[in-house]
Amino acid sequence: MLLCLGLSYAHTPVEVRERVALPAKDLPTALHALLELPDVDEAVIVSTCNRMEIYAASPSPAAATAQIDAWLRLRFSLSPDIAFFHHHREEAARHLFSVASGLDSMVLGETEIFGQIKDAYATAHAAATTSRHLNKLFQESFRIGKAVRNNTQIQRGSTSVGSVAVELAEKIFGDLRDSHVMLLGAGDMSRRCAQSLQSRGAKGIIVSNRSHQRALELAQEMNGRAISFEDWPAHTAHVDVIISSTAAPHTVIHPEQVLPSLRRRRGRPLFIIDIAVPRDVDPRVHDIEGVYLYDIDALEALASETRQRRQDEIIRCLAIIDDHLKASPLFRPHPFHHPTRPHLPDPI
Amino acid sequence: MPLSREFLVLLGAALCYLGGFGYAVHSLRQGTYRPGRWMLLLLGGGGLLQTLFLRWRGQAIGGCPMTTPFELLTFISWSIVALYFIIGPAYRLSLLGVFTAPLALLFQASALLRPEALAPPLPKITHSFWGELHAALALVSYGAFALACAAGIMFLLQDRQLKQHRISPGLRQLPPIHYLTRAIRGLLITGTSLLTVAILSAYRMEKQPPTDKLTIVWFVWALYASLLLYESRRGMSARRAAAAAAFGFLIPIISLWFIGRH
Repeated sequence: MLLCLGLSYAHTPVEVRERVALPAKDLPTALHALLELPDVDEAVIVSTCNRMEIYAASPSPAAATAQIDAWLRLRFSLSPDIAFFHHHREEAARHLFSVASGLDSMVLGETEIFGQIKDAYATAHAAATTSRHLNKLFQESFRIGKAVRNNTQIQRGSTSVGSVAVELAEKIFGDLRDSHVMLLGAGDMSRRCAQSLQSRGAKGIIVSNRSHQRALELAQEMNGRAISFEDWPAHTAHVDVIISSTAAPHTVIHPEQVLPSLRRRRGRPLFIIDIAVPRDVDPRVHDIEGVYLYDIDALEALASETRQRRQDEIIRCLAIIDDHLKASPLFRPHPFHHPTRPHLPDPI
Repeated sequence: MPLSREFLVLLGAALCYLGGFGYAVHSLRQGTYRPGRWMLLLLGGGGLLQTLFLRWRGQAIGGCPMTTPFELLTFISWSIVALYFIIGPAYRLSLLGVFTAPLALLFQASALLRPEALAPPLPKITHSFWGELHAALALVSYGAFALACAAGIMFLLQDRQLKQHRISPGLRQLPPIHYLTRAIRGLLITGTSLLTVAILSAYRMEKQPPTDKLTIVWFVWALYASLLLYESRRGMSARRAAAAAAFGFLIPIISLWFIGRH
């Protein structure tokens, strides 16, 4: 019979989560220690920054749950007031399927957890701590995770301001490897935004700041080049994305500075991200054809819209999981087979 | 009266395009569209059925099957699909299929609704090389203008949403607007170049087409050539170029109607 036990960001503070986090190198030892418990036949440990969960197969799940609980408290010196959640049979499977589908993630629908579960299973499989039940369970979870993502909008769109900016840049330019970025102001947020674009291939970073020394430092950090603040309008013809976050109390980018460059751009669009408060860019710039201006509110509104849409998709995702659970061979009535140790892994 | 095998294969092609269009609209509404084998199969299947028809009809009349408006419209529909397979991958525009399917369907359905669709082919006549080159290239150029129109519509839809600070799930999957800008330019250059050769071929024909027909083809050519010239000399915003490609296609459509009448 299947069971899972653990804790996650939803109910447990980071101070506790970081104590029970298991580094990848320690997982095989921990898995073998779990199999030493009298009622645990198979085990997989999913340990990420947001959760630490143990999936196990046992002929007596109540006893196995108590044993794993005690083992965790002993190993990590946890006080009795720290509670673990636990699920048995279908509920354990339903929980894993929800986690694999990103429904239990801090950022709803995120995909990283799917890879982390795959890694956790591969580690357990390599350590020979899985057998018939968990092999089937995890294979099923991969299938369901894919089905949920392919058939719903749970992972579509961007949920943070930075990722919305990157998504918009890709919507406008496609492959960002041919794109050049200019930073006006050397604030931390514009740096992070530019780094996100860089991570997707954007190159030719130009930094312009009232303090030229700060511009030089940031340009060096980002493998770009610094220009004096007075010169930035001359470069608008050659850049694709402008990220503005100066501390100026008034607007610094006006239509008169953008318009002269348009002809030389030969129809190439210009994407301006204004993350300064008060705003750096005159809103009239957005009225220019081929120029797309997004301020912090516009970016946040798109991120929030995506988050809401993902929330709305949860019901569809749960329905897919329910359908799979009903059809799953895992829970068809069958006598429990007590595996013989040592466990021989099924072929993946 | 039993339907001819030619009519049936074209009906099959129209159904393929209808299926492609329906599939794309449904999945775009669901936000789960992935340009893939279904769209390729449906467009490819339709294109193959049309190729089969053009082959049969070509053998029957002993030349390029462009003797009636029914054949002309079918040939344009076929050109649109052929260009999609040639141009789409070059500009990374797999989603062009969403717009190619209804365009191909529009032309194919219009052809099937013509009275001569059920008539037997015209008797074999003597065809001139220059005459056939003229007609074939002119129709393929119209196919390029049709795809430029589709790319223009995709651009305008996205530009509007980006200006409104919105991205709907359906439009989220359309190609980036910069790719569309390049595709529109490429398609207009391709179409105008082909039409140039088509017009020059007409002057090599022993018996030249009627002056009013040539005049209207010159008019279409002038429209697109002046658009490209203006764009290269004075520069034009991508939005205006897209609008010109989208709405300018009305002129070739009208010219086709005019040529069809003659």
